[in-house]
Amino acid sequence: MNKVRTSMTGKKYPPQNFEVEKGRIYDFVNAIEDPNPVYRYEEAAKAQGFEHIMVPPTYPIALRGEKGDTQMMLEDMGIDMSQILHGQQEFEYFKPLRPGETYVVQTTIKDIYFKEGRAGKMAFVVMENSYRDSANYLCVLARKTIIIRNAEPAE
Amino acid sequence: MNKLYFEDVDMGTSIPSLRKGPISRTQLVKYAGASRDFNPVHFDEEAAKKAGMKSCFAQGMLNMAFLGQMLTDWAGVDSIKKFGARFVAIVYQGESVLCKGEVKSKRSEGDEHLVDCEIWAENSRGETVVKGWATLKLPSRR
Repeated sequence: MNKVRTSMTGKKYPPQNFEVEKGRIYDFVNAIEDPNPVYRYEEAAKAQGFEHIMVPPTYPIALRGEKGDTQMMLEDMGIDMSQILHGQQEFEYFKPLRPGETYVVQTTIKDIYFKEGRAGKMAFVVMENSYRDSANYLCVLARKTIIIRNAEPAE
Repeated sequence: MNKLYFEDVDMGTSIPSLRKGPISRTQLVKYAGASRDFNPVHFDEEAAKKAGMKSCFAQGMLNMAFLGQMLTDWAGVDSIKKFGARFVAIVYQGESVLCKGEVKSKRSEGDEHLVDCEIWAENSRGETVVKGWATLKLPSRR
């Protein structure tokens, strides 16, 4: 049984800074095999009316360190990575991310709840990431639900 | 690319579908590195089996990226206001992903012209693997 610490609801992790880098965007769009030139070339982006190289919609997820937010949460709970599934993901966009800008990313655990499934009891951990630019403007909000299998509530 | 306008879409309008893959182990490794998701179930056969899966399978976020491409190919890369996905089944290595979508409703709020879409992705076995939703902001001809 995986003991899921419900007292972690509301926990805010320390903010981390990540720069949006052209090279990492390039690797990302190659990995997802999206050939759109506005993710790769300044001229192509400008020709379509954008001020800078753009990032694809799911790119904010890549702004994390070697140890991601999910892993930080799992380590806090003492739960192995093999016990989880990514249940749901949502993004809200307020301003496009821009190469060369450094974003402050902060993770908050918003909710933890349990459901009985075919495979037994599962825990749902809802985490929110905010992405703010250097002017403290909220550019993207991301919400994800991580499912922990064979779960039981603990303090 | 032809620009999509608010007046071009209606309830029931289909989003042009997009087929991606087949997904190779190399793509899973590239995506793991590019996204910094190092969960080994996606690129290490043994880890996948230990987690109860048949073999390595695509990151949910890779499937969501495919849906994202369908949306941006159709409406432009700056059109998305809200984009969500529920991961309901697995895409194994070697499978293709077919992305589809449909307009559910359209509305204008102030000077913003919004289109709500239902989107989904299917694996090679025809199972729905991702159920998603998106709100797009489109320019108006008026």
